[in-house]
Amino acid sequence: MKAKKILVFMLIVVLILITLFGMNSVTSMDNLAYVVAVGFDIKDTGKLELSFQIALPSGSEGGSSGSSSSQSSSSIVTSVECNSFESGVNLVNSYLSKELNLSHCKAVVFSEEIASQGIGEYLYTLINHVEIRPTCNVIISKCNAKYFLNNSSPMLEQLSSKYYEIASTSERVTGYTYNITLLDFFSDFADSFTECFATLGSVNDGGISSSGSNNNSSNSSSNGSNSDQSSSSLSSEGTDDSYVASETPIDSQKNIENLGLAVFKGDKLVGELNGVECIAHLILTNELENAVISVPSPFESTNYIDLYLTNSKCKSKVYLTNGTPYIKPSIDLSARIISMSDDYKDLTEENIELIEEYAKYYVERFIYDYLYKTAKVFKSDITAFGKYAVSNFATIDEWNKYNWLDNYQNSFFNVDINVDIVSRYLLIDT
Amino acid sequence: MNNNKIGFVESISLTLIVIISHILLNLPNEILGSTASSGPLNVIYITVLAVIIFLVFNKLFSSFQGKDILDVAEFVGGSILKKVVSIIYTLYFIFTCGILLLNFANTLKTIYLQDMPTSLICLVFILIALIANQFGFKNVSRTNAIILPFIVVAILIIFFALSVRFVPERFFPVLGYGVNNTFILGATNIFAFGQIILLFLLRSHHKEPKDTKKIGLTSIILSGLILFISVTSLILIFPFATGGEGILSIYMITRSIQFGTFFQRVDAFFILIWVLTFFSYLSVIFAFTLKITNKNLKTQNSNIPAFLIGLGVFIVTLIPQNIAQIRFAENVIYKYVCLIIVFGMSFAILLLGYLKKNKKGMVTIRS
Repeated sequence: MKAKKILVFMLIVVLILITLFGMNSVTSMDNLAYVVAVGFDIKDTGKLELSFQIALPSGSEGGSSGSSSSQSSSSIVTSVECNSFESGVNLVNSYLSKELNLSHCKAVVFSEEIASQGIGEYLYTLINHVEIRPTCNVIISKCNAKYFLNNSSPMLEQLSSKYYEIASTSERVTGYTYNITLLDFFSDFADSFTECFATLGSVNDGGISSSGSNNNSSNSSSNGSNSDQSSSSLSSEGTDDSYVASETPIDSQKNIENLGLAVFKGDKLVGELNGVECIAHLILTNELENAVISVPSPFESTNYIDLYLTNSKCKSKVYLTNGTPYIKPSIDLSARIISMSDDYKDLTEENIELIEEYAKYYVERFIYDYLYKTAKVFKSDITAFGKYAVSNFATIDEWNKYNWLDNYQNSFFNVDINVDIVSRYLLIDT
Repeated sequence: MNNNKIGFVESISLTLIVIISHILLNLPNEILGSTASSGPLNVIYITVLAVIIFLVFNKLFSSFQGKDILDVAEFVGGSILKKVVSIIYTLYFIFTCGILLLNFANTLKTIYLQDMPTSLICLVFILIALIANQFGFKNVSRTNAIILPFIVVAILIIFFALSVRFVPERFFPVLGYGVNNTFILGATNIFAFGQIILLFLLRSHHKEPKDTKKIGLTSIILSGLILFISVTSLILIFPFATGGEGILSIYMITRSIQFGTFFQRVDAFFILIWVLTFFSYLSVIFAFTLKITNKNLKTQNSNIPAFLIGLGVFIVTLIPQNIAQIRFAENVIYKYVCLIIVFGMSFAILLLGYLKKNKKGMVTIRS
């Protein structure tokens, strides 16, 4: 018995000694530089340009900036031209004399240019990287990614990382964009019944010079709506929800803005969606929490009625007729009237029905716009209708042979919408 | 001898820890790689098969109350067959244990211990299993029974924390790669229930021999349930799981778990649970291997055999040169070795034993 105790004691001692072998490789926080966001750009030479937004330790006043560095209040941006992601990280490690740590990276930003050329290889690198968390956001920047990171100075936050975390939650209130994590993006990329999409971002220079209405030109040309109501008064053009990132007429200091969605076909960027199209996307994917839309008033042609959309429910069915997808989304929307002119006294049952009709036609129109834009212009099923079509197939071979992602462009749609106006807040209840 | 008798819960825990260890590494991906979207259907199918096979085995065992499979081998072919079977089982355990340990050590190395040699990580685990086994089979099984509920709860949290990401339509196409891959070739996925071998070796350790059937059925059904949950969750969350691409899919799930903005990065907690799982798994397999060796050598001093088993496992961990070889050993060699030894050889021994016993009985009655 005593011999057994000695044996156990010796084994424990050996065990402790072995665990000490790793002590010489322990890295302390002083040796690390924490990256808050990574940017991917492509240079004219075809080389990759990586930008790292690195958090400054508290007490530091900015640190020395190299030729390719700039700084904001709580972080610096360092960029490097390189052949691959890992070699870029190594070059920056060498320049900073510290090890870049990506475990606190909150955003991965790709410029529109690099996204159009394809980002598949970077995606695999990022998703396989042990330090980069799958919950970090993917943003497609309309401008240079380095410029985007340089201008991401938190206005109402102390920490850059917190800023990225909080900024992405605005989707819950507005519905104008959608927060896509790296895992979401990679899953959609790898999936056989959907295409990937990402948050669209840019730098808003804070002036009101930029026009917000120039982005709808492609909408009207691609509109295949069978809605009866096609009058221009019900178009979303020129309304407050028709902007994309960088176009919002905000008068403030220059800062980044996330608005709209970037649409991919495979790993290549093929287009972008504005705020209202993003709302349509969220309605169809059952992801809409709340959103405000401005519907032209049925009582006065120059006025708008603001509707607060909640409780959006969509059930979609996909039928294959002679190999062509026939997609039938059924949408139920609850809406509250949140602003109106002083004619609220005329809010009779007939008038409410009229508003409901107008709202229905308006929503139906921008949903058709969205559907035909994704199908005919982008040829990209970011709504994931494929998941409803897949039940028509018994085996994966049959499904792959059908090739849903390529057949989606042949789809035709029949949207069934019901808008229920619930209440007008404080002044009157319906 | 009564010191080694274990109860209902301990027996089930011993078998569950084996399948859980496999699930945490690569088992669900291996099943999904061969069946794709019909993975859940395949798991139900192989669970039913495993139950049927267990019932057949149990029927064959019915003539050998309180005996384990080594006793049956001795009855069939004398001490020579017993020694051969014991050596085969010992090598089987050392091989599976070594490969799984190496895979887990590589996982740990990838995630946290980048600068530590894999062999050292393996050595730590082996030493802990050796220390645990100094306290005897019963204590190992009791400790395992205490740890197991925590592991099961952690697994359930892992899978259901991301239930909001489930896409039920990923069950389609319901037949995956086809009927053949789901039900005919897919039947080979029954290797997932390789821990059934422990039930054959545990028979002489049950406190209540009449509980043997109940223990077997409960452990197979629970194993099937855990496997079903893990396969289903993976397929509903990751579209790339069906391509067999996600080597560490379950770790990827844990990395995606966050409860609001307050509880993030809970993966470290799950890694801790995994480490405990592997400590427990290794201790259990060492205990069984030791039990077989002691029975074979008819020795009471278990120190030298224990060290030899540890050395054997360590040597196995040194053999594969890269991750491709580890994957091949785990997905191909282990699969077919398991099918041949657990389901083929054991069945042959039991069948021969059953026939011999019945023949003897007939002769006795006639005489």
